[in-house]
Amino acid sequence: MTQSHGQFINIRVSDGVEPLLRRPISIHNIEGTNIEFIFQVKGKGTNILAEKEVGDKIDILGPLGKGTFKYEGAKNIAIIGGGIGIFPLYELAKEARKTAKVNMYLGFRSKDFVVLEDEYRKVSDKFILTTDDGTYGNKGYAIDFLKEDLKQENIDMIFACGPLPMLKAVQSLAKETKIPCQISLEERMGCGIGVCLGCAVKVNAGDQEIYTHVCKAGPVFDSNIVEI
Amino acid sequence: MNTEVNLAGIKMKNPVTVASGTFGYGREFDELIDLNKLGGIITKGTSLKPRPRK
Repeated sequence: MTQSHGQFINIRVSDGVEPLLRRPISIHNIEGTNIEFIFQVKGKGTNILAEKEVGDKIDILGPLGKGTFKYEGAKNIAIIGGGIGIFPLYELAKEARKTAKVNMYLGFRSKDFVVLEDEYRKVSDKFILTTDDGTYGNKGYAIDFLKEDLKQENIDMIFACGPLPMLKAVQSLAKETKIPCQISLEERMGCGIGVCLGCAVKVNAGDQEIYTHVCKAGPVFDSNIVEI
Repeated sequence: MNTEVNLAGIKMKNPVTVASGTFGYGREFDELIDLNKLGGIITKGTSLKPRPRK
């Protein structure tokens, strides 16, 4: 598997048709021929997936998504993640760190939602963890800490993945500071391969507004062109 | 073997089609299969002019 960051896999959770559609889940880490993914148990599909045991075989389709995180040429990057949106950022940090300084900003709702702190700290040069309510780490939103650091740090690229309000704030920040920024989007998906056309997202292509698809052209997009 | 069918006046070389929502506009699968083998492609509901989602 070629090394692309920010892709996902579409996982078949049941042998039958209930549920029918695969579950799209981001790739968290790649280690040799092993890939790791992490998911939150939310509904029927993820519940079934959570029942699998070590040694079970699962049917996956992937890696999917032509829009991947690209950091070539960057020397000082900011990676910002929120909640379960942090999962696809691990592999990016791990690899980018070989050629760039990684400034990591992770935000969670509260202490109960904090996960993988040590793992992410190990792949960061600078590591800031926040909780909205201050029950763990710094109190506040991750983006505010990034904004503060931008006053003295020369960040040349920003990468983000997380809840929509966070992505919108990052998009505004990137537009304002003119720092190149890539965001990973999430949409409900059907096929995951660009043919059911269910995960459409609007992008600006010059003076045209067109629709493209998160599963195929994404999930990572230039924050300046995508409308969220 | 003659596989031609006539579907309400539409002549198709065979009755094999692909269902709406599973096959994009056909061109997405261009590189994977020979589209000419199909009798027809059924696209999703579509409109003459682009229509904004929201």
